[in-house]
Amino acid sequence: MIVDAIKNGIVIDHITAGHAMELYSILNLDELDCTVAILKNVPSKKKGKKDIIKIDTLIDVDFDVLGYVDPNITVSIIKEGKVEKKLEMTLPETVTNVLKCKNPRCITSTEQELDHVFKLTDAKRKIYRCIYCESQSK
Amino acid sequence: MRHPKEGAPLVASKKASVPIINAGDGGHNHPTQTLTDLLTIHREKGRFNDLTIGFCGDLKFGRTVHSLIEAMSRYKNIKVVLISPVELKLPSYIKHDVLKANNIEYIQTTNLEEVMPTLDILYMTRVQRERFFNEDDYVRLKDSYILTPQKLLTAKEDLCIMHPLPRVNEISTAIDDDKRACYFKQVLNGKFIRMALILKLLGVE
Ligand SMILES: [Zn+2]
Repeated sequence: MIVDAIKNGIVIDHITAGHAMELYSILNLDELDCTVAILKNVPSKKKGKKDIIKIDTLIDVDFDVLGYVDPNITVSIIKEGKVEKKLEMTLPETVTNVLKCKNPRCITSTEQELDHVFKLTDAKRKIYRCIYCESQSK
Repeated sequence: MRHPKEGAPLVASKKASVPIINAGDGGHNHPTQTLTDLLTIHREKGRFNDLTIGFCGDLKFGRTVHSLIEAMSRYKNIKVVLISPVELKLPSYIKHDVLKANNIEYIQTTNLEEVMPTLDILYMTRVQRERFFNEDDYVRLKDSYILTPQKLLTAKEDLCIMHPLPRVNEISTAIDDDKRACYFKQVLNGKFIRMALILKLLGVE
């Protein structure tokens, strides 16, 4: 299967197979007017299978979100048909408005305008805690 | 600020033009109580290292217990003895993130009398009726976690008995005059620590 090479845009590669749609919705890609290609179960040397998302325009991607969802992802920024930058993701120190605090006693449950911010407290076990009530993300 | 919602003082501190003291936010933190507990331990024991501390009662929901365990985990040669009914055991994330992460030796038991001789400090908490699923369990268990002169017979001479107060019935009033009862001194220490904190934040030397 061939998808046209993009001239200016972003390629999100090495997504764990089956997780492309999750990223599609977290990154709000449905709001874009440009071409967005989602490739599922692409054969991969490293992982056996992977997903890829190609976005045919240069948008600001929240790398923290990508790193949180899957730190193995790589992002290539394509300009004039060439890879301008290739970025490796890492687990972000904080994520804002990606996770929602579910603790009913948390201040975020009543103050609607507050950002839901989670902080990485244990990188090994990938544990994030709400900065307000310290509840672990589920 | 004392507030039923967890994290409310943090939110307030980001907007307020004056310092905010968290005076208890929901079931989350109660830092001035922890400072009070630390001052009490320091005044009674003269040290923070080399202590065996028993926590007795409701270890699941007791925020003062969680905070004090975390605070004491910074010190050397601390042993923690967790005494509670199975239903009210210390949450496993505290065991993992605090005790195991800091290599703190700890044991869990349901029997206060059995561990009494080992303790330097006994931190009592309320076992509340509403924490139990049924009345039978509550009635069956509540007396096991009440401190009486009888249970103190095997305790060390210099045991320090603490309680964040208010007490319901978990410490028999017969113990109030025992020199090992430190909970009323603890209240006074609470006043001192809060005075000190306010003076510090006001910049008074
Ligand atoms: Zn929260």
